[in-house]
Amino acid sequence: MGNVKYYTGEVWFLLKQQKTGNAVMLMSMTLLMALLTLTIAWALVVNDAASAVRAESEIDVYLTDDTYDVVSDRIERMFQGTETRVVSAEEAYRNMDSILGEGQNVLSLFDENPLESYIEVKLPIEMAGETAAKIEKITGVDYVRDNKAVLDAVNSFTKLSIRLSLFLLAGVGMGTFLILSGLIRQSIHQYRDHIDTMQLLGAPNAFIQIPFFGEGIFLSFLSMLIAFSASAWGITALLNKMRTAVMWFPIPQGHAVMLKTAVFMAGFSLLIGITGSIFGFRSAIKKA
Amino acid sequence: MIEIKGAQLIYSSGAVALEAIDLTIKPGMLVFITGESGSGKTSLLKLMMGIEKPTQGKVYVDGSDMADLHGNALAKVRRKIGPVFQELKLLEGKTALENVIFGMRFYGMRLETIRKKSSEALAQVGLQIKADMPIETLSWGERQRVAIARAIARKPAYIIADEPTGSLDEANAIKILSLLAELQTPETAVIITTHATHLIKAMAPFNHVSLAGGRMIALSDEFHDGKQGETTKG
Repeated sequence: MGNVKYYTGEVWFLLKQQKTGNAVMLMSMTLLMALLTLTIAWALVVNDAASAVRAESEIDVYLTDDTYDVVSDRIERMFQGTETRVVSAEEAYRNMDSILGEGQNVLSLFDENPLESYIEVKLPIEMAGETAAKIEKITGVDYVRDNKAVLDAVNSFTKLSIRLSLFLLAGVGMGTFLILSGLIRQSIHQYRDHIDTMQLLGAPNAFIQIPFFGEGIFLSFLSMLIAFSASAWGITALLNKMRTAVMWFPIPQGHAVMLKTAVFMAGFSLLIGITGSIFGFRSAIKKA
Repeated sequence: MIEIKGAQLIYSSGAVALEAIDLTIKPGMLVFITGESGSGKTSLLKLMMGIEKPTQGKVYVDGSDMADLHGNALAKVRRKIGPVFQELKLLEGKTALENVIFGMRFYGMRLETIRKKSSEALAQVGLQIKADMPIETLSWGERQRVAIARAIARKPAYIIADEPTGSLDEANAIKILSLLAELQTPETAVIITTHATHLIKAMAPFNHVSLAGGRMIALSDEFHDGKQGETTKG
């Protein structure tokens, strides 16, 4: 701990040594980090929304008569893991009214409630298609409606988004890693005599390396901090706006998404800071 | 103890720097290594410090084979040595005291202790008054004293000085050599290379190694019989 002040001083010295170079590198890394912040936030939104939609997997069963309790029991007995509930025509009307939102007076155009009672069957999404086909064959069932097609589309979209995010993560990771290791190599090149002297005086490797690692971690973390601060407010506001505008789609809370993004970005910047510095240091020392 | 047994050093360019060197330096010795430029003096010191590995033979410092040491193990052995480099290797932008402190930052001592030892070392070389002056404002002779202070503050078992008289006039060269010679204690060996053979006569008693073309051409008696002596050959 006695050397913390020394290390801090050395990191500051290194940062001052190449102000312009560090500023340019910092800007480049900040832009990449901003892109990554957006990507991670987007991936989290898509993932959270998809999880919420998947939990909504259901089959609506409409009957030819009013034997709802009998059919419900039968479905629950036939298919383990399902949960049934009878939704009356009045409840269906209220639900539809709430989905359509204020100002949508389509339902009021009808003299009578145009909606029917039905059995709502909650079930794991992977059971949906097969179960719907079997339920349709039960005596008294008029027809069934499921949301499998929507859920499949959501799943495909989620997978694509996650893949794209991973691709961008790899790209940004590689980009910041290369920028950072180049920066450290440049520092070492400039500081070569100093390092030689330290080695000849018998300084342990860690003593020599720590200021360079400090420089790398500091710049990586600072670029993340600037990128996150600049984009967090906008992303949060956008998500909160979308939550009110697109009520039927389960968009997660803006601050919850940004909290997760912040944790990820902090970890990512530290990881890149450490690995980029180690790589930069090792390659510069080997070259020399 | 530094033991060099049948050491040969050939650089990658093919130049033979040292050939068949056998030498044992014990604690408490004052050793002058003399020879013309290119005779192998600096190469010999490089072997002792593990900067170069012998292409043949062995170099041991306190029992450690320098050829086998790398990284932190090599650093640990180097901390037993107080080097005074020909080009001094002081840090620009730092004061005289900071330079001395720097040589001890990694000794695991409290900063106050390091500062005290560094100030004492600067006082020992007569530079306490210039402790807070930036290194680049000092004369070459003064910088040389700072480099010596950095070496001795560490209380090393071996002080190794490479051509400390190289850039000095005769009067200052004698002062520096005397200063280095005074650092010899029963626990500390002082090893100095110089081509100014005429200046070392006043430093007696000492041990003498004379090099030419990478070979030892003369060795003082003490190296042969193990006694401290001022006799020199060659």
